[in-house]
Amino acid sequence: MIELKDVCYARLGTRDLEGATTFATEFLGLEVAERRRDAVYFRSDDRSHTLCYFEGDPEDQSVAFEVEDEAALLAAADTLDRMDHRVERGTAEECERRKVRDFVAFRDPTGNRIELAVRPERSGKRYFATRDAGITGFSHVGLYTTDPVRDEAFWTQVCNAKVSDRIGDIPLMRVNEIHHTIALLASDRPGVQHINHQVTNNDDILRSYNFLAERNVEIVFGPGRHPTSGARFLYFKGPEGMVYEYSVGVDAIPNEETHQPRQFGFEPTSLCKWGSKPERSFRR
Amino acid sequence: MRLADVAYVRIATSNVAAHGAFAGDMIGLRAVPASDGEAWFRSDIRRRTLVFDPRGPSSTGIALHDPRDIEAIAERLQDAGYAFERHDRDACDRLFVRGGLRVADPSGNLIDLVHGPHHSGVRFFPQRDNGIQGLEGIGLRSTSPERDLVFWRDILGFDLRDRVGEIAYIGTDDLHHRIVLYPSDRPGILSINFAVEDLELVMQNKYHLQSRQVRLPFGPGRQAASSQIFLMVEGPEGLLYSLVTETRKIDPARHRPRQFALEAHSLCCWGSRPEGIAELAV
Repeated sequence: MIELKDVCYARLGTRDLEGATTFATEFLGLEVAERRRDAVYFRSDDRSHTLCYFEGDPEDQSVAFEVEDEAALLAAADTLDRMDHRVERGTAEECERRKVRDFVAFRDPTGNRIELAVRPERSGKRYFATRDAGITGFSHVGLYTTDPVRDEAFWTQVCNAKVSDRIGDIPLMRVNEIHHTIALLASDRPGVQHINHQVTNNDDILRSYNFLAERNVEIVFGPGRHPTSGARFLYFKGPEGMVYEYSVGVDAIPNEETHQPRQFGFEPTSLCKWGSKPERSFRR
Repeated sequence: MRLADVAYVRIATSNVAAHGAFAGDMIGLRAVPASDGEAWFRSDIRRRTLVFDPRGPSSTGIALHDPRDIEAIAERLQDAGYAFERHDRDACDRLFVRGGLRVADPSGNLIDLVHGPHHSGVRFFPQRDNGIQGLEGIGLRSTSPERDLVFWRDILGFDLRDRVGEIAYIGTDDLHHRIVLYPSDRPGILSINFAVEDLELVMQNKYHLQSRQVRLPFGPGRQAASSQIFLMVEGPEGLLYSLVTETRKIDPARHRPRQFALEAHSLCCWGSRPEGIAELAV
């Protein structure tokens, strides 16, 4: 069993590093942690970075999860190996570029590139946002899946993810107390569908809605509230079609034993109890 | 301390049917059987809080909790030379109140100062799940808020709570405000404010009304001065309904009126902008 502790960082290729940086700072509100010739690192919380845009193919996307230690990493690599998942151990240079001690990379059954990281760097300097968006941290990702049932089995049987709720066949899965760290969305090919940052309160959601809409950032869903996690949310479009989400008030599931995943129907009110509907461009 | 709240709003209109349909089908207030070609609506435990009247005039009912306050106001009105009219038995029956008087503020807004507005034994049940809890306040047009403030404060006993430019928020109890005076070129009722349960209901109303092509000229937003979350909804003939929640409680004895700049963020600290409301142009 691969024990995922938390989501760690996302790495996204871009053809326009300057444009992506402008978006990540002036609109999304993250802090630039470090600029390199071919990559820019962004902070959203205590960690040294939680998002990295690098010069490259926009389809080159990875999401990393933290594991406990080197032993856990090797055990995970072994598990994946025995299942015939091709596992790559990160080189020293690759580790340095991810600001982690060690990592392995593999692809989930859909083909999403997943990294398992050990000892991701934290920073002693507190996070200071570029704009007052109220961000408190990188919290979860939405991943495309070509087969939600198969992929749910992978995340819950090979890894330690547990299903918190389902909307139709789509599972919302947690690896810790937070309602979900991985949300799956059906598609014909792999990819990161959205990247979530938590904000402080409802006001942040509504303030950002007006701030972004006024600056012609495409709002693709919300402001709304998920009946599943209870979170108030806003989804909007970033560079290369990536969807970013702000949310607040996501439920915690502290009692693993008694939690029974709820089944929601595959309909708009299962996604938003306020009545907002996702735009066509919310997902592909 | 004198306690007062807004008991009812009467709107004079030649188009009772359109207003009635909007208040019932769109806002979701509870229609109750009416007479004399009027349309009556409930929004809380009171027997009636909103009336559309084909004959007019428009008026706002302000209920004073202590009937002796009305006598004290009558004396001050007399001393200050304001003409007023006591509600006779017929008027009380028509207004569903126990007693009161009618006076015009200096702008010409008719105010009914009443006591004992009728309550109902039938609990309020909205026409749809809109979360409405009751009539909380109103926005009044004023041709000079500075001048009208003297009337509202010195004669009626309201306190000035805060100002945004010349817009004045006034109240009597610990709710930040019950009435807002908006500078305008004419008198009249600008908005009727109904309290809803919480932000969730404000947002649910937004999407419900938006999908029905109702114009939402301002909000969802949050007032800087009162922290009130609001959604302004435009009904027939430009009548505004404001669905509100989280209006701040203050300590009336300690509150000092503050002056906010006349700019968009004073009216909404979330950054939404009023569209096409002359009184809210900034």
